[in-house]
Amino acid sequence: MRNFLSALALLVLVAGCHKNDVDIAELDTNTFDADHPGVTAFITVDTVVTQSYGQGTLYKQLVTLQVHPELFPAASAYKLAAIELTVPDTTFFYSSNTPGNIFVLPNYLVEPGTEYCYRFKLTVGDELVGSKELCAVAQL
Amino acid sequence: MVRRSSLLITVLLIAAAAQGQAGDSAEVKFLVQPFGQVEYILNGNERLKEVLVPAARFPSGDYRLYFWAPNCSILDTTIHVAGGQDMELRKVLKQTPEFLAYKKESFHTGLGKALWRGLPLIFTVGFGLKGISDRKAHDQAFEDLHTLRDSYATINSPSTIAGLKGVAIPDAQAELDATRRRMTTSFALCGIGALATVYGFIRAGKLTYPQYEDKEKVRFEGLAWVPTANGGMYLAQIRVPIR
Repeated sequence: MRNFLSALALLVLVAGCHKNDVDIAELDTNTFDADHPGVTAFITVDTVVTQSYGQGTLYKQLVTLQVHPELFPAASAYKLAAIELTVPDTTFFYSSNTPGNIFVLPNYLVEPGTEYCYRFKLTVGDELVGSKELCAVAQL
Repeated sequence: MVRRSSLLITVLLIAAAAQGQAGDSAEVKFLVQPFGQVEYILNGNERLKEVLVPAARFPSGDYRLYFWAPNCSILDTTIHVAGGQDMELRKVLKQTPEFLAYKKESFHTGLGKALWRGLPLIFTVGFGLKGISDRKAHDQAFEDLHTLRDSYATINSPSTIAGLKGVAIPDAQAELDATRRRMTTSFALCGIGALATVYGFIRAGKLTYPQYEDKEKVRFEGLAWVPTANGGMYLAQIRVPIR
């Protein structure tokens, strides 16, 4: 009887000490997960060019961006915001309905030879899922 | 046999009535318990059943009566019949001490058998049912946990992912572990109960009911003759052990 009770206690102990059914450490495949290994490039910069306008006396810097929603865990709407850091409080907002997910940010009144910096923020719902900073010198 | 007994009763009653007409007799009605089982012998003569001959008419005088019923002590009594005074004889036969002891021992044996068989069986069935219920709870907890895990891949919200990994999945895992422990314990106890049930049935099978012999019946049957188709006969009993 004593042996039987010992075996029962051991059985309960084993049942209580088994490995977890779901290993949380192995859950890292979602690209929105903070534990996801590496950096997922939701935003890539295609080109940065400077063009003249206004009869050639003024200049603008055009930054072409591409968003990669195919890297999202599931298809969903997103919002892209671009902040021009050199001139504070200049923010541009873009929606997600741009064909090919390509966005062109025009920064007017730039001066050739001057470096301009930008921060891009990608949000899904109200949550930030990706960001990128870029600095580029305006040059013809 | 029944027809002959009825004829005998009729003869007795007619004879009693004839004596009663003489004015020197009285009717005695027998009301002896346990009703329906009592037999009696009058003055060492024929055995009669109270249900068939519940009353008789006697001339004045003293009469010795033996009353008996199965498992009861013989009541040996004498009544005095006074002419013209009908009477009722009310008695209660007591069960013999041997029969009372036998009944008590039989009860204890039966109770012991029932307990040896019933308690482990109830224990087994109880924990078996609890195990089934725990199994359902376990399966539900397992499904809940895996539903959460499967939802991880398609969540489009970093905060939801953090909540899933930090709270929801650990909680679901803890619930699953708890249900698994309960289920294991229940089925283990059910197994113990099953073994105990087998042991209980074996143990109950070894309990034997006591034997009882109605010695008063033997003694009563030796007191009078039993009427048959060819007259009457005395009964006696002898036991010869065969070795």
